[in-house]
Amino acid sequence: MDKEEYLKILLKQIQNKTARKMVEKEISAHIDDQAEAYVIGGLDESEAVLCAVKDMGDPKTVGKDLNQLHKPETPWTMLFLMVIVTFVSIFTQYMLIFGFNGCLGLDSVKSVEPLYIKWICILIFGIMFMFAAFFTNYSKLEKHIKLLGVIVLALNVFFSYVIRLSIDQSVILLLYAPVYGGIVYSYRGSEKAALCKIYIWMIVPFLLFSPVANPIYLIFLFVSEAVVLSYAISINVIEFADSKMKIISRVIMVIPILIYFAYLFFPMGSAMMENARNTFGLNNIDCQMYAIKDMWSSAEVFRGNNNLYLDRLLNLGANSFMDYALVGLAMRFGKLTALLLFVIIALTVPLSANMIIKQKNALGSLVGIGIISVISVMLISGLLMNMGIIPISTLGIPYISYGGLAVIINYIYAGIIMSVYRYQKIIVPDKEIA
Amino acid sequence: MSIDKSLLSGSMALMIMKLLSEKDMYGYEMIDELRRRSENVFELKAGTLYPILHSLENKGFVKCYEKEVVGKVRKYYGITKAGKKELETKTDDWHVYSTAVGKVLGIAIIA
Repeated sequence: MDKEEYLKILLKQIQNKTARKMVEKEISAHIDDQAEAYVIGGLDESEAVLCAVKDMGDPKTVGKDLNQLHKPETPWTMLFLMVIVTFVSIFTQYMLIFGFNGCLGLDSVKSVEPLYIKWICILIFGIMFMFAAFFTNYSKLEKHIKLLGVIVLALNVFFSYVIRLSIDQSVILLLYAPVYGGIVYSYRGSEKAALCKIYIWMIVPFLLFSPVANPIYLIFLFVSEAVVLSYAISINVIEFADSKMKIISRVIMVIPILIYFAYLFFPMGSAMMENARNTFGLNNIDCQMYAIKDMWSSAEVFRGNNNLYLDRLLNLGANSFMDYALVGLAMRFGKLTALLLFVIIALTVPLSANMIIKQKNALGSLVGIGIISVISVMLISGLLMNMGIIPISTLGIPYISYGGLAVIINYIYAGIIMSVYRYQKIIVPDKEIA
Repeated sequence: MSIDKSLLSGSMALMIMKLLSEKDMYGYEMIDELRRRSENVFELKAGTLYPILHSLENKGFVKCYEKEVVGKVRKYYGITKAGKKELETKTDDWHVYSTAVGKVLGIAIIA
């Protein structure tokens, strides 16, 4: 059997294209090395190759063994959970969009139909993006990760400064969270100089978007960046000869957020200040946060209260409940049902964490941890906001609050987590690291 | 001399990790080195080596990178921190095991 035939039989056993290419390169180089050794030992070239191939072992068995080790994994539990999450999203907005109008006795069910159709379209887009992310081998993107970082930032510049979308659309900024994990990973093995660059990548979104982005998204992004960098230091992706540096480098990264907070709350009448006041509901704190608090506390535990709901609805407007989905659900079906649905959504966090913790690939862990941090803070603040405990007014619960880009980004996040799981056994080798 | 594959599989990963703990190597180099050190007892087939190496990589005990040496791009393997730890534990286990077998067989094992 010659080399080509051997490789053909062996590679036929391997399902994944990336793994197939890697194995082909490695085995082919091995046969060449062995053949070269035989030539030095006195065999002629063609004989040497035949002997080298024979030394390799049965191609079918080797191929099957390697396939077993590089098979893409399917995260069935996560996929199943995402199906349920999607049903929860469909159900929640159905109830909030049609339910409220039904209550109002409006013959306007038809008038809100486009809202619901839009919601279904958003979910379909979200699912499509999720699968696109799922089937993309995230580890291949590492080569171009900085370019990807620049693209995400440029996209935000375009949306925020060129076509001037509303500040809520700055949610696209959250796509930077997984990218930042990849950027940190790309500086692996190097010391202090790299750390400076990592800090720069960390604060660039603040510098660029403070005046135009929703501060809450910038804060979420920062939390995620800080967790990712801290984790990278703890697993020695960023190595320090001196253990004191580990602590110092973590302290340093808190500085930008402190400066940012200082700017938010002690500014000189800037646009940023206005953004911050709106985000944290400081301009209308009396009506917004207390209204929500009052609704949450007056909602019953086990059953809905349509009268209460109708009363508040007339005050606040139906659209508020599409955002404050949990309060809406609590008044329609009782707090228990609302919290139960929230728990289903929140289950994505421990499930993702479980998939990421088992990762042996540091790139996968960093990307995953970036995402899990964002989703966690989003869920916690969303829950507290819906209970009227914190005065944030421009944040939705992931997956169920009405929103376009935010929901799509949630689905992309889930897709990336599943991609990390799927390709955990297909590790693209590094170029030589110093 | 060639030895039954099943007898080898348990200890092979251990020997590979030992080699890699000394320096980073590519696949062919490992086979050559094993053959030399074991005085031709371990004629390891490449088809056995790569699945072992890749499974060690999946477990996070070794990591790989590509390096160009005299015009050839080779895939080098190096041991990780977790791999070093595993090597230590498995070497201790091996000592206990081989000493016990030696005692039963009445052979003095020189460690």
